[in-house]
Amino acid sequence: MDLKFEGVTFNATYNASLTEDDFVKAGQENGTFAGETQEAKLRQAHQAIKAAVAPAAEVKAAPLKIK
Amino acid sequence: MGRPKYLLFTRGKVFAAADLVDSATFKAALLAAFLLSRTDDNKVFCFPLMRVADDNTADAKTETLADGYEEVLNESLAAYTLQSTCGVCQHQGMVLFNGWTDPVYVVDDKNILWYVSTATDGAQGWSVGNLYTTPPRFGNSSNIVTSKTKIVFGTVDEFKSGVGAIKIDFDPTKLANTVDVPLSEAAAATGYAFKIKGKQLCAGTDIYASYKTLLDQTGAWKATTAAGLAVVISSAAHDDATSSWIVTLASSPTIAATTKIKIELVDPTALAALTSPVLGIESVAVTVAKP
Repeated sequence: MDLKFEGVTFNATYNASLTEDDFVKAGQENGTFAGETQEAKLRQAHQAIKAAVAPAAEVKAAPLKIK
Repeated sequence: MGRPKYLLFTRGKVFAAADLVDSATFKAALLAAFLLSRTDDNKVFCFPLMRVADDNTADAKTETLADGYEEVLNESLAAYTLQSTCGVCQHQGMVLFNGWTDPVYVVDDKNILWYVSTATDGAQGWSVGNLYTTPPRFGNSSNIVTSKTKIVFGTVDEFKSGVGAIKIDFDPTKLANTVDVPLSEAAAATGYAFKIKGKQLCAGTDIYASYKTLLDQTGAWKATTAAGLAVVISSAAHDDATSSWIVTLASSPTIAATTKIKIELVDPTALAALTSPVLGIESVAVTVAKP
């Protein structure tokens, strides 16, 4: 499953298996999102990846209101 | 049977009876076989239009006794020399088939495709005994320069019974086909990120403009170590500055520096099955070294 973030298409399945810090470290070594905002963008990308691969059960439904 | 006009080579493609019901159905089956990977047994390769066909089939070998009694000792294999006026690159492509001994389908000048019938009324190619195309060369002031392809069929028995034919109303060389795209490194790699570009083999046209966003899919790429282990593609992105794609490999498990890695596009069938289908190209892998 691919996730496109800021022009880079990530393999969401693989990258979701990395911790955020490992993902950021790899991105810095590989020059993904070069520039001053690199780390911030990498962290945002990883959060988007985690959200994309989250199983449906983890998506919390709004609590029912019982009157 | 007319003179051979198109030769369609395959390692093992057999058309089912259902593929042969009419020209349109056969065309679809042939197109599907054209679009397979070059390593697929069912791939069909089409040689260019053959403008001239000379029949080189020898007379049967006979022996005559002193009293005039004569016997045919050996039948001769059908043999032809075919001439084409294709370009140098396509000519070189034909030379690569020299020594081919897998089957061939033949389309004659009446646009009839001839094949050997299978037990289930399908079609298989003719056995090839030998195939040889002369390499490209310069012309002269007297003759049109042509490629010369010598084909010797594998057995006369296939011509004696069970021959099948279908009239086709299309030109096999005009069917959509895949173009070979050799890949190369556009710039030095960084970490696990490799900058890969591709140019069409014969035309030399850079494919970047046409496939820029399509090849941003991680599923379009494939990486393999020298030991044959697949490496996960972590991300893919196009890079306008170098007209290439930045293909980033998974850093877990770690790949040691100087390790050779083969990077290529997945085969044409897999490219066509992507979320955004990639059509018309087949890559020639590039081997890169992990920095």
